[in-house]
Amino acid sequence: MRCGDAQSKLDRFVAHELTSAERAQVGAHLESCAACRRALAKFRRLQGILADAPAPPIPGGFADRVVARARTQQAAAARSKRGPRFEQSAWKTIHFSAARAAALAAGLLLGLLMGRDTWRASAGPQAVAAAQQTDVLAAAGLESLVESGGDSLAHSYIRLTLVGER
Amino acid sequence: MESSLSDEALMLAATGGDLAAFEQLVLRHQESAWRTAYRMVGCRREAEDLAQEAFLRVFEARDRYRPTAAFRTYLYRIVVRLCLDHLRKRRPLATDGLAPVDSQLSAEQQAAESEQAQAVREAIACLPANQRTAIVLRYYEGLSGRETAEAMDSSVKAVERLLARARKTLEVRLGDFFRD
Repeated sequence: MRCGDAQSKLDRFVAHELTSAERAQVGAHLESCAACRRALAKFRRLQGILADAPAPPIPGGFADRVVARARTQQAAAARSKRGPRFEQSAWKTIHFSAARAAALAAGLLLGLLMGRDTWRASAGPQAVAAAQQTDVLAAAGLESLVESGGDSLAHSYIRLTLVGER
Repeated sequence: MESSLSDEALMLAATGGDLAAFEQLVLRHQESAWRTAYRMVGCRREAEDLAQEAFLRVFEARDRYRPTAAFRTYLYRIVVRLCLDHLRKRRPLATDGLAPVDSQLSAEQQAAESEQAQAVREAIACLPANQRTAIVLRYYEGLSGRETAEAMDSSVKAVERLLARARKTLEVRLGDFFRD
């Protein structure tokens, strides 16, 4: 064993951390090498010198400050976990409701237009003009909604379906 | 109240959000974490920030913690990494290669510190960061060669070499104290 190898193992030799084979090798080298014995003595002296330089005491309240920060961190993490999930479900509900409302409105508009055209075609221009003079709805272009005898919107719709069947 | 649970059991309890278990871990290891950071960076205020940060990293990563190594070694590794990062960022400011002497020690405290203790502190501060880390973990914190290597993400042989080089430097710098 060379001096460099022996000296690099000195602290594990002193701490009894070497395997028995390594320990025997270092021990044999120390017996035969005065320079490494001096190195061992210096090492023991250095350990004593280092131990004579204690660290100052830890600042008071250290643990409390760490735990307070951890608590804040935990609360923030819980909020960020809850937040997006809630927003996602709220947006989903809003989107679904808006789509349903739009479909309903489109259906109503389509029904209205179809009913008006059918009524105009069957009643003739004179009846339309007469209705526009007597009813607010008719004046607004919604004469098909005006109840006038058998020519109501319901009658128009029924007629349309019967025509379709023939 | 002091818990009888092992560090690893407390850490697993903290994984489930148990802050009291985490507090027990902090109380058990606060001194070694703070001391290590202090000896690495040489400043009380910075040591407090770094040691706090180390515990918070432990808390943040609690879900990923696996008790494959001792909690103590795991914590030392985090403290060491944070300190080395901190020293790397600070390096351009240290024009003379010396770590800053603790600016928060009062005149009285500095006077009370023995001449030898002051020389030791300065000699350690002058070591390269990896040699200083090895000295702090091995001789001050009393970690074994294997634990020191684990905490430094290194091998036992590499730590042996670092310690041998550091000891040579310290023996020269502290030569006056070897004579008596």
